[in-house]
Amino acid sequence: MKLNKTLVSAAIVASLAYAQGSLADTQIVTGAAALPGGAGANVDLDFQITIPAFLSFRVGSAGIVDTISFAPSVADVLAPTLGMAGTGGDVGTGQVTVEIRGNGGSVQITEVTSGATGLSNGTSTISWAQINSADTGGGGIPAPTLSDSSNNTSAVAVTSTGVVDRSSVWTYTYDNPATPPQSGLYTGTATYTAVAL
Amino acid sequence: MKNLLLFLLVSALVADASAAVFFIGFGPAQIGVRVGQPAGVSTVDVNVPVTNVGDGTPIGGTPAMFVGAYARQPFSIPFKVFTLTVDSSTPLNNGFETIPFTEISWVAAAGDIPSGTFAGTPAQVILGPIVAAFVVIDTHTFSYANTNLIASGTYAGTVTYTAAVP
Repeated sequence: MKLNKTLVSAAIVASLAYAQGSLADTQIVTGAAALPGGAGANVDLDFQITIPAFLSFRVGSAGIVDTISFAPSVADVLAPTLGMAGTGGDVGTGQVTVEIRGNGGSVQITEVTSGATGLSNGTSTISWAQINSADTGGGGIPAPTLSDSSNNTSAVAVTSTGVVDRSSVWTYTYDNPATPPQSGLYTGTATYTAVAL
Repeated sequence: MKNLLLFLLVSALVADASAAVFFIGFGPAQIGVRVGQPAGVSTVDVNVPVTNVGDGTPIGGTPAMFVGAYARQPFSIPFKVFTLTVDSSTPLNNGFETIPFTEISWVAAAGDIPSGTFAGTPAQVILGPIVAAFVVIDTHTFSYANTNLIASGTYAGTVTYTAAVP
């Protein structure tokens, strides 16, 4: 029985220590706080959620490099026109899907083109400046202007705090030059890079 | 012997234990609550894999938490009840963005303190009313719903559990 009394005393001391808040996540209260309408006993529990940063960027078909083609007729070459429609792209008619998802803030897109003076047929070139690109999908992803010198940029605004979640369509057109280029098949590659700012 | 029984039941709140309900009877007014470890505020950690950010895949938190509460009232006012409420009204934040606690739910190991989802309110009742003569303990495993694409970072927040006799 003496042992039992000692144990009970220890429990009471421990309970008082809790009531004084010495142990933050265990609390035992007595007296007015424990009676009806009293404050009761309360403890805290912390939560921590870690969200990693990521950036996902897609231009055209997923996992495939799309080709946009322009095939001006002889008449087109002789009577230069601006904004000639193309073919190809995952949407068709010279159009590609563009998607950006990320949670590291706003995004900057940079274009880098092949060749120092434009698309090439091996002996002659057509300037990248004659390839127009425009955000026609209304999704808020401006297309950077293609250039021979590269490194033009466009800015993509956040859709909510720290987050970009946008989808749109880019449409490419070709401006026939006033002076017809040498005949042939001109090819080149534009590479886009997205970076969170 | 009555005091010895009380001691054993109070100890059950302090030590790790599985879910259970104990009768402690009546006596001097006393209310106790414990969540997590006996000493210091415990933390539930949730780490979202980069491939699952905001895709709706629930992400489990660790560790599971002991949750226990009891109340005892004098013989002079028998049959009073007690409740366990939680205040989750202040969202988690990373300094410039927030996650509401409504994104966090829990599964009870035994259901004595039932499974649920934080309401994001100051006084959500998660247990009771129960006659103020019992100890109720359980183990809760938390998870994050992960339903929204949100800014990267570490979000921290605190909920407060209160056991009281209304």
